[in-house]
This record gives sequence, C-alpha cells and structure tokens, in this order.
Amino acid sequence: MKAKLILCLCMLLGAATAFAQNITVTGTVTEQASGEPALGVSIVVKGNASNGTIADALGNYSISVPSNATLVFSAIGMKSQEVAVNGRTTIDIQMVEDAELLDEIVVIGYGTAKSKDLTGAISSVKSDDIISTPISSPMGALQGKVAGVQILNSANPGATPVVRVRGVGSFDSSYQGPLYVVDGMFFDNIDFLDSSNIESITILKDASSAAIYGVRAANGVILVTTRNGVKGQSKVSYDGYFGVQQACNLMKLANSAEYAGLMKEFGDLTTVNESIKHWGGSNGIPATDTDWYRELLKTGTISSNSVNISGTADKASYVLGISYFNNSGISKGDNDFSRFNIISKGDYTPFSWLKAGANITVSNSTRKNSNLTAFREAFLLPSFVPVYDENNAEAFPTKYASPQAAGLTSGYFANPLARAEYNNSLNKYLRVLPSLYAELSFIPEKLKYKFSVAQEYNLGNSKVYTPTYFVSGNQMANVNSLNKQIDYYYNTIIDNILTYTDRFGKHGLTAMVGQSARYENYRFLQSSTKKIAGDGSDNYHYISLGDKGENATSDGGWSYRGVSFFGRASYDYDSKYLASATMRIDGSSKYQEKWGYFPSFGLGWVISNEDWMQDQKVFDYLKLRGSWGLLGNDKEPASDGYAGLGTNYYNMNNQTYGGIIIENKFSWLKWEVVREINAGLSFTSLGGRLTGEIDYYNRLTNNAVVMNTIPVTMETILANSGKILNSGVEFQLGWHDSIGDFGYSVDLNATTLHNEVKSIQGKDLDYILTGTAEFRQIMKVGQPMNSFYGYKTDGLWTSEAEIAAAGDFAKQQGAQVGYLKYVDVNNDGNFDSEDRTYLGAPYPKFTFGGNIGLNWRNWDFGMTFYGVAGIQICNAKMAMRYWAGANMNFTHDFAVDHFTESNKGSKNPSVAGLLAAANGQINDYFIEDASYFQIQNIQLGYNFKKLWNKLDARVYLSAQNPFTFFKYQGYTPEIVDATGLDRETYPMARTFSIGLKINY
Amino acid sequence: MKKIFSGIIGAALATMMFTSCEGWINIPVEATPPASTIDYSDPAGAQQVLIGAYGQFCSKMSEWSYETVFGIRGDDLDKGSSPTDQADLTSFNNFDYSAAGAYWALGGAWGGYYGSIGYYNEAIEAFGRYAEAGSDAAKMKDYIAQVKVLRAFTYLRIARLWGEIPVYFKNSERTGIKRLTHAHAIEKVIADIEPVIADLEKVKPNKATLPGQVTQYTAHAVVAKLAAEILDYDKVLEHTAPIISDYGKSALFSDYHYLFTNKGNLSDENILEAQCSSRAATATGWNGMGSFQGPGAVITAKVAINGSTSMNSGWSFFIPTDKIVNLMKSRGETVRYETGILWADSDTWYGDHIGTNAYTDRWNGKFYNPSGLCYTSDWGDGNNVRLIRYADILLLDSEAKVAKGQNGDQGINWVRERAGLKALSNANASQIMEERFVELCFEHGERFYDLVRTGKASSELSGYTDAKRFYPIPQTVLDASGSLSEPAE
Repeated sequence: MKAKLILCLCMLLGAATAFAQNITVTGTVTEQASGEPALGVSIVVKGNASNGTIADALGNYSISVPSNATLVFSAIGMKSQEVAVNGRTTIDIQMVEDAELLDEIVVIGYGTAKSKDLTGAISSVKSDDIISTPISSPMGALQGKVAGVQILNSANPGATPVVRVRGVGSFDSSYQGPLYVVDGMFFDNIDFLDSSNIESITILKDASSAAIYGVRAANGVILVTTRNGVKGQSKVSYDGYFGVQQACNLMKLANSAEYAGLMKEFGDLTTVNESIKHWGGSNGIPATDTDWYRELLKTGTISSNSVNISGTADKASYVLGISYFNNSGISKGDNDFSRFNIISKGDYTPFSWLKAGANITVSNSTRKNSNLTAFREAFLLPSFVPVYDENNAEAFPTKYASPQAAGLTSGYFANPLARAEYNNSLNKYLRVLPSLYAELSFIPEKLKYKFSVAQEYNLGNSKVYTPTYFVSGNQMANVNSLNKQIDYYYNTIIDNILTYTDRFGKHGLTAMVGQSARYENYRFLQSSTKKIAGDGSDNYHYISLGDKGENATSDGGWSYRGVSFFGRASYDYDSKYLASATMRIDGSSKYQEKWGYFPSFGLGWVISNEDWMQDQKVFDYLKLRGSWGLLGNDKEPASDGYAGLGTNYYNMNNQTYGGIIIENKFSWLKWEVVREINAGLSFTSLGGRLTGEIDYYNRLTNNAVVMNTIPVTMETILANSGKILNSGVEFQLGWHDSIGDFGYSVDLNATTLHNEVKSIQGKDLDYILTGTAEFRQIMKVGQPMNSFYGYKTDGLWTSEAEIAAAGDFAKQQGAQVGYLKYVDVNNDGNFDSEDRTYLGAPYPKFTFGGNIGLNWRNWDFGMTFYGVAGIQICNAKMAMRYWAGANMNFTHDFAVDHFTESNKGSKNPSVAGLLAAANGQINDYFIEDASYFQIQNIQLGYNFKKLWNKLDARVYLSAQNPFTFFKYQGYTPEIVDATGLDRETYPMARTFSIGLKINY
Repeated sequence: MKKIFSGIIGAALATMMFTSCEGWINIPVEATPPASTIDYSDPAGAQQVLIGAYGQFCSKMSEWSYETVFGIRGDDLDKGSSPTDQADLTSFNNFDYSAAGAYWALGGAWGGYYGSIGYYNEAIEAFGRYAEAGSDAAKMKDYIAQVKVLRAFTYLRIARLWGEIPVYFKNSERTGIKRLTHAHAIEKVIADIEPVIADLEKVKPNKATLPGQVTQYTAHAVVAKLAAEILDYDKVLEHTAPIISDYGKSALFSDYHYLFTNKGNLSDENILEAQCSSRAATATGWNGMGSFQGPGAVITAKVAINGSTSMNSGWSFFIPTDKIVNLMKSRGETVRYETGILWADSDTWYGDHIGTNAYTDRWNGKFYNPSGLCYTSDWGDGNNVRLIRYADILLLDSEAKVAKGQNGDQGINWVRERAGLKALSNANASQIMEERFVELCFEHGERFYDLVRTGKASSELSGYTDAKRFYPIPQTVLDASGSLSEPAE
C-alpha cells in the first residue's frame, strides 16, 4: 500500500504543474456517536481514485491535493461524506453510522459482494450476536435469528443441532442438512468451532446465491468466516462466561397416592401391594414416593474461555486464538462435553500483487455420552420403587432397587439411576484443518487469481464399555464388554478462482470463473470383546485383555472424488438494474450419471435509485429481486451401480464358516436436484430506522432419493423417483432508533413453510410407510413428509347407550365406557385399518423469532424470543404403555382429570381406556400439538470504556431459556429426532450465566 | 518475483489439468465387490455361496416376529405378556383378522421369506456357473439340491401362512407374477425337489460333510410335510419310508428332557435344524428366538453362569393353554409335561427356579436351556432351532398309513415309548392326532396346521372358519405388486 502511495504521489507531482496548486490537507476523523477516532477511514480525491490515503489508528490523516479538490471520506458501516477542500489545510470530519449499511460487504460463494448489489436472499449474523450464548455448537446460537432457518437444539452436552434451511428437501434425515463452508472446506456441521473463532456466518438461502456451490447446495449453504486481523490494528481480546444449568419445565408425574388411586380404579393393586410389602406403606398407599426425574437430574455447568490476538506487522497480519469450552450436563452419570481449540492464521502481502496466507485450526473434543434410555425409564417407572434397596441381595456394585421386586417384571421397567451410572460411552475427536491460499493481482483492483488448498484430518476415537453389574433379571450384565472404534476422515479441496471486476461508465461487471477438485475419504476400524481382565477401570479398557473367543472385528470406509467447474457474472447498470448468473458443473464419483448442471439467474431492481423515486419520502431504499436456479444434493448414499456381493456366516457344529450372498438388485442413482424460485423485496425506510425483507420461496426437489419397493419381495432399493415441495414466505423487520442517550431496537423474523410430497414411486406407488410399526408414519403424495398415520378419535364413549347405538362399529373397536371413540374415516361402517388417516406432521408451518435491544449510556439489555406453531409430534413415551402395560406410571394431569363416572366431561379416557388406547393403534390422542413460545435469552450488560489505555470491557448477566410456554405433555417440545418421535428426549435446561469480554 | 509467480501458476495449472480428467472421478465403490468379480473357476467359492444360503435360512428361521404369527393360532398356545403387548396376536389367535392386513410382523414375514427366496434363486444360478467353469459336477448338484430344499421349506412356511401364493424359482419370473392356488403351489414346490433328492448325501444331517447340512433324509422329510398339506398320503408314505427304514427306532433322542436343550443340538432326531445358537462369538445375531418366549420373571439358576445365579428374563409371549395342560395331565404325561410346560413360582425339571409374573403362570419350555449347559444367561442360550424332528415323521407315517387303511402302529408306538407311555394297538386317526398334539405342541404351530389340513379345525378351535385358514396378504404387498391381486391360477 505504501509503495502504491508513493508511486501515486510521484505521478501527481509530475502532473501537478498542469493543474491548480497542490496543498497538504490534514485532519482527524472521529465517530460522531462516541467521539472516538474513526478506524479504517479512507480519504480519496473525488474523480482521482489513485490519490488517496487511510487515516491512522488515532484518526489522523494527511493528503496532498489540488486546492479545489473534493475529498471523499468513507469507511465500512459509515456514511460516506464528500467535502470540498476550498483551500483549507485542516479538515476534521465526524463520521456517522450508515444505518442503511448499503456498502456493507457480504461474503458470498467464492468471493465477496456489496450488499446493495445482491439479487439473492442472503442473511448474515455477526460474531457479537452469538458469542455470549451458552451453547456448545455455534449454529445452535442462531436459533430464531434468521428467517427461513429452523434450528432444533438439545441440552445434551455436545449435541449437534438440527438445521433446516427453508424446509426439508430430502426424504432421509441423513441426506438433509445444509452445506457448511469454513475457510474453503466443506463440512456437515460446525460443532468443532468455538463462537470466538467466528467472525460472521452468512446463510445463502436461495438459488442465485447458493447455486455456486451446486454440488451440495440443495439444503442451503452456510458460509462461516473465521476471524481475520484488521488492518492497522492490533487487538487482544478475551471472551468468557460461566453458567449454571438446571432442567426446567419438568412434567409432573403421579405420586404414589395418585398412582394407588388410579390402580384401584383399574382394579389391579398387585404391584402397589408388593411395594407396600417390601418397602412399607399403609392404607393402600406405598410409603415410597420417588420422583425419578428429580433423582436423575443434577445441576450442570457450562463455561467458555477464549483469548484472541490479532494484529498487523509491516506486510503481514495474523490471528492467534485459543479457547476452551466445557459443559457438564444436567443428567447424573457421566455426561459432559469439553472442547479445546487453537486457531492460527497468517496473511502476508510481500508484494503489491501477491497476497498469501495459511491457517490451521486444531480442535480437540471429548464427549461422555449420557444414556438417554434412562430418561425413558424414568418416565415409565412408578414412584413406589425406591432408588436404593439394601435388601436387593444380588445387586452389585451398588445396591439399587429392582423394579421386579414390586412385581414390575417387564423389561421396560428398569432402575433409571442404575442405567445412568452403569454407562460408559466416550467419543473423542481430534480435528486438524490446515489451509493455505495465494492471491495474485494481475491487474490491480480488477483481475485477480486465487489458488487455495483446504484440508481436514479428523481422527475419532469412541469407546463403549459395559461393566458387570446386577440390578434385576432385566437389568444385568454378568460379563463385561468393550466396543472400540476408530474413525478417520481425510478431505481435501483445491480451488482455482479467477475474478474480474470493473466499471465502464454506468455499467459494473464482476465475473468469476473457477475450478475445484474434492477428495473425501472415510475409514473406520471397529473391534469388540467381552470378559476383560482387571477391575474394569479405564486403564484396562483394551481389546487385547478380553476373551479371544469373544473378539469380533469389522472395518469399512468410502472414498469419493469430485470435480467442478463454475462461473458467475454479476452486472449492474448505475446500481439500479442488477443481474447475475451462475453456472456450476459438478462431476462426482458417487453416481452412475456423474455430471450435474446447476445454473441460476437472478435479477434485481433498485427502485429507490430511480429518478422518479427521488421525491418520495417513504422509502430510503427499495429493491425488488428474483431468482431461479438448480441446486444439487450429493449427500445421498453412493449408487451401487452393480449387483454386489455381501458376506455372512453360518455356524455348523459350533464352527464358523464364511458365506457369500449374491445380490439380485442394486441402485442406480443420480443427483437430487432442487429447483428453487425466490422473489423478494428489501427496503429501508423512515430515515434508515426501519429495515425489512420479504421473500417468497418455492423449492421443488426433483429426483429425490427415496426407497422404492420391489414388487412381491417387498425389498427396498433406493431410486431417484421422489419429488418434494417446500414453499413459503419469509419476513424480516428491524427497527433501530434512539432518543438522546437511549437507543432501542426491535428485530423480528417469521417464516411460513408448506411441505408436501409430490411423488414417491411415480405412477407405481404413491406412498411409503416409515417410522415403526407402533408409530406409523407415512410419506404420501399430497401430505407433508413423515406425516403421522393412524386413527382419528372424537372424544370418549360416555355411556353404554351410546355404545349400543353404534352397533358393530363400536364392537369392532372393543368400545367400553370411558374409552376413546374412534372415527369411521372412510364411512364404510367398519372400523379397520382402512380408517387410518393423516394426523399431523413434525414440520412447523410457522416459525418466528425476534430480539428487543435497549441501550442507555453504558448499559445494554437484550431479549430474544422464539416460537413455532402448526407442528405436531408423536408422544411416543406416553404410547409406551402399549408394551409396558397398566403398571406404567401416569402423569399428574391424568391422575386428577380422567374419565370416571363423576367426571364424564374429561378429555382423557379412563384408566382402562388409556390402556386400550395404547393398544397398538397409533391414534391422535398420542399425536400432540408441539407449538411453543420461548423467551430464549435475557441479557443485561454493562460496558466499561477505556479502563486503561485502549482497554474496553463488558460484563453481562444472561439467562438462557428462562421461560418456555407449551401445551405438549413432555419435557421439551423441541424434539431433535428427525421424524418427530419423542421417546428418549433429553430434558430442556435453563442456564444462568455471567460473562466478561475484554478488548485491548 | 517471477519465480514465485510462475511457480504458483504452474502448480495451479497442473492440479487443474490433473483433476479435470473424467478419469479422476471414475473410481470404484469401496467395500462392496461386484458380483461380477466372482471367480467361478474357484471351487472354494461355491462352498461360500452355499454357506451364504444357510446364513439367510438361519436368520429367517430364527426371527421371533415371524415365529409369533406362524405359531400363535393353535389351541396349544396363547399370547402372554401384558394384554396390550402385540395385542393383534391375541386377535389372530381368536381368528379376528381385521388388523392383519396392516400388521407389521406379517408384512415383515412376507418380505423376509420372499427376500430369502431371491437369494436362494441367485445361489442356485451361481452353482450352475461354477459347474460350467469346471467345478466338481456332483458336488454342484448336491449344493443345488441343498438350497432347493431350503427354498422348499421356506415356501412351505409361506404357503401355510397365506395359502394362495406366487411361486418362482428364477428371479426373472418375478415381474407380473400371479398367485397359484394352495394346492398348485405345493405341487409346484414338490415337483422342484423330488427329482434332485438323489443328488444329496445319503447320511443323517449330523454326519454329513458339513454337520447339520441338508441330506436326502431332510429332503424326504420336507416332501412328506408338503404332501401332507394337500393330503397326498401316497406321496407322504413314499417319502417317510426311506427315512424310517434307515433311522429305525434308535434315531429318537432317548432323553426327552434334553432333546430341546444344547445337548439336543445336532442329534440324530433333528432332520432339519437352523444352527443359530449364540455359542460362537460370531453368533448369527439376536433374532430373539429365546427372549420372546422366555419367562418374564425372576429366574434363579441352579448352576451359576459366569458367576451369576440369575438368568435373563424374557418377554413371556408363548403360553401353554389350559387345554394342552389338562390333556397332558389326563393322559398321565410325565416327561413331555415337564419339558413342555414350565410353571411360575416353581423349579424346572432341571432345578432352575422361575419366579412369578403379573400376567401369566406358565411358559413354553421347549426352548429352555438349563443353567448348567449355558454359556451366557440368555434364555435358550446355545439352542439351535429345531425345524423338523424325526418324531414328526414317524407320526406322519402312522397318520398316512391309517388314512390308507393300513396299520400305523409302529411310528406312534415308538414315539409313545420314548415318552414313557404304553403302546397302542390299531391306533386310529384321532388317537394319532392327539399324539401329534402332545408330542409337537408349541413347535412352530404344527398343531394348528395339523387341524386345518385334516379338517378338524372348525370343531376344535373356537371362532375358526375355513375362510380363516390363511392370513390376508399384507396391504403394502398388494399396493406394491398389482399382479398379486389377480385371481389365483
């Protein structure tokens, strides 16, 4: 930069004699709002872009210009100002924040662009928005902040959030999920990153923005930019928080007295009496009253500490960061997640035409998995079994009570505390992500070429160990067992990108052409054994210590390669009319039809720049945009392409022989392609205080991969015969204003989603049954994916007369007074499996979120909220009664309000009715509305400015999930299960934390 | 300067050119060799294909959910566990099939059995290719015959469940295939294996090259059972005769108690056996044959297993009916009563103690393995699945002889003698039926299939009508396979 400056000045000196006399202008540029020096301000002579300078760290500048020149002051996020020199030698300027943020630079695929020039639907989230949210995965902190993006979080430490961009576009949950691009490398999730490593997250929602990543862009693209150094500044910062987590919204279950009352109504007090016999009680009420969820839960902690150093030195800039995150969960038994990250980035500009850089990110995480079965068992087990029982003679190592002693002999009743304790499951990951790039400027500011290589090495180690233990005949292991697995992922992406930017008068053009090669590998080696010698402690968890006769080993892996050619052209006429087109050609080794073509077109019209719009006062900025494009999804499994060989074995007289199976079917797959149409409006109004975006999206997944059924054998084979439609509207509104010292802002976003299956197997078959036999779900043409499929009910049978009047129809459903009344859906007078129908779907029709921010002097306050509506989930844990029988525990709500002769108006059936209702027939009594509204985060912070030199600090208190409102009978309506089945769900947690941010 | 410049450009261009070749993305899929890579000239591979077929057979014959729908309908078993657990099975036991079209285990059984048929068809084709490539012709014929018998037994199961079924021996015939009537289906299957019986080894299965493999006697037994389905007694006798003449009386396992335990694995009496025991470390996997019928109670082992005196509880699905209990008592059955029925809150014949259960007071004992013979504490640990026993053949022989007006005392009396009962003279058909009832109770639903094929079902089973002999074809199958809705030929 300096060299250029000198060069320019020399040229000017030469030309100076032909023009008016040059003078040196100096001054200081400050920010109007704070009075602090403005940073990164560039001062350029209007009409002579080569004569310019940058203000230093104190806001001072000095420039030699003709005395009649006009200076243009500009900085990112600030309104540009033009000031005529008029012979003055000192000009001080105050920069004002540019609320319109029109000159904001946004990261788009393989490049950057100005926000005002975009024709696509792109949302951006900055580091500050997410850094103080206590959650392990940065993506989880985005919940409720971006229109069109639905995120499902779980309080399970280290859990990966489910992310859906604009609906669900693939049939199988393993093909869903957006593409994450972090520094050029593709990922399926960003759990390994710490929020402090991230500078910004950009979500590319529509085709014209995402199609440039054609190969895997079908479910949205999330670009993550890691922190960069800022030119001219050195910075040290610390971010940290410490919080305490507790389960919240715990359901109230029946206590022993309520349970005894219900079983008396039902007429079977066997188990109640057994409990009294073993552990005491009187008057038919057991003395034992265990609240299993309370016993199973504890207070957890969550903490994060990160330090980042960034700076510049001569021609280089660097970033160094180190962070440590730890979350010990709310469940008893080993249950925590910790992650240690080191990030190091360096950029070096040895010559004006060459910029090179290298990064390396190392992430080391350890996760101790909790056993979710314990939560299911805590729900099923009645309260009259104690946690411990000294009289359980055979129990070891801990004397847990056995439910069998109370006559609960089914395998569904187990001691949850024992389940949580005798669980030892560990996952460790070490990820190393090196990358480097070189950028060559052939023509400065116009033509540049970038070459980059990004790699990922991911070594995973997991171990599951079951000790010897005994609680009951259903809950025991008399030999220990160990299962170990090593996973190794190794990916490389090499990109070559050529970009050309120029303006010709009123025409602006940016063209980009690129080529990319991808190489992805996965290998795993797994081994298991039993009867390990030693006392079972961690030091002895080795396969070699087990019984050789019990060893079993297996391995596997895959290796894929891909090559892509892509290009983009963006054109604008006078910043008024915008057009962009992208094209990507992808080849992948995964499919038989190897090549996919993904074009996109986008148009934009900045109406507010039109001459006839200059007089109106309503809109400061108004842009109309639309796009169409095709996006690919290569997450589907690879095509077989040929009939393969499988292996099995058969023991004959206890000797094992290896066998070969010859397949008679194979899959022949090609790309899943999403055709996306987007139309949108962006506007700024009322003096820049109101901003908003409205988008309509329509995404049709063609060639969706779905299981096809082969006639007669009913075997299934994957084929590209499906079609899925996702469409809806997104709204985003923001209001920012201030009254004197008091500033406030309100941001709202809302999304509607219509999800519909358009085809399964073409004309041959229009449905496919999914889910399990007990919780049937269906993918049927005309209904949302994974719709619940079962019997409809209409209240209860309340009298014998009513049953008699219904005749055969009542008899066929085994109707009795107090039972659920099923509906004859097909009106044929019979009650049979033909009466099953659509009962709801696990995708929300409406999601909304928002943020209210207030600031006054040094104080700031923020509250974010989030909600969903129009979503149903299957309360499978209630329906577990089908297996666990009458003895399963009840909820308190059922205990106080169910059908009895004196309470005929109840919506709940009688005790016997509840049993019959769960009688293997999934019905709408168990499909519940999972709408909810949550105050997600309340935060109060205080800023200390300039404590010492440049030192700034912010202290804050935050409450995460303080209030959640929902009607659903469960521990959380946010079910991370891809198909909406709540069976073993980790409870919701509320976190109170205190945090500190220091910048120097 | 120029060096760095050109160096970078050079590297980039090189990578670009290298990776742009289509050849770079043409790499084979890992970990799944194509079927076309089989070297048909290597005879060792043929045995692997044979083992592959046995592995399939084993996994289908030890699947608990298929066993429930197959075995529940007789008057020898009720469904246990809690009333709501798989309540549809109780409905089927009472011949209410309204939920059968959608019942998951029926759909699973259809897909499982027909899926295995597909693999048997491929294996038989493969043996043909091995023979062409020079492998020992006689051995290939033996292998083909073995897999044909496995296939025939699978078709027997399918025919017993659904009656009018499609039968195909080549996968290419599957498209648009129509169903055959029950009789035609059975006849087609018999015609498939009768000609190849001579290709099999003429030894008892436990003495064959691969212990437990299909031999001539197995094939004869399968034909006999198929023929019995359509009451072709001439053919039954044609095929029971060669077995009985070589087996004599000694092939019956002397101790009825231990016949159904690990000691009975690969005994002379087992004519067809799926060796799915969990004994080897590489066990075929848990298909639940033991667990689903094990007692759902505290079971105390007489002999400690791996240091513990507790055995794993099961799910109590198969419960002996009062009818069979009373019948056995009235006949003065001793060893068959003790082996077949295990009572709650009492010791087994071996000495293991079974506790109580809220819903049931007795369990099927024919998969029980005593603690002293157990390797792990799972119910029935180490037991193979006995599919056809010699006792069944002897009784079929007696039934056929009596039906043809001959004297059928030999078979039934040998069976009675082994069970500790006095011999009969001039046994009649109903005595033989009753003997089959007490001898074969709880074993793969034989009782129900005996009653329906001899026309006695309506009188013995309440709620039974001839229309209820077969389950309806699963709705999902009909929806996906239009040709199966057409009338049977």
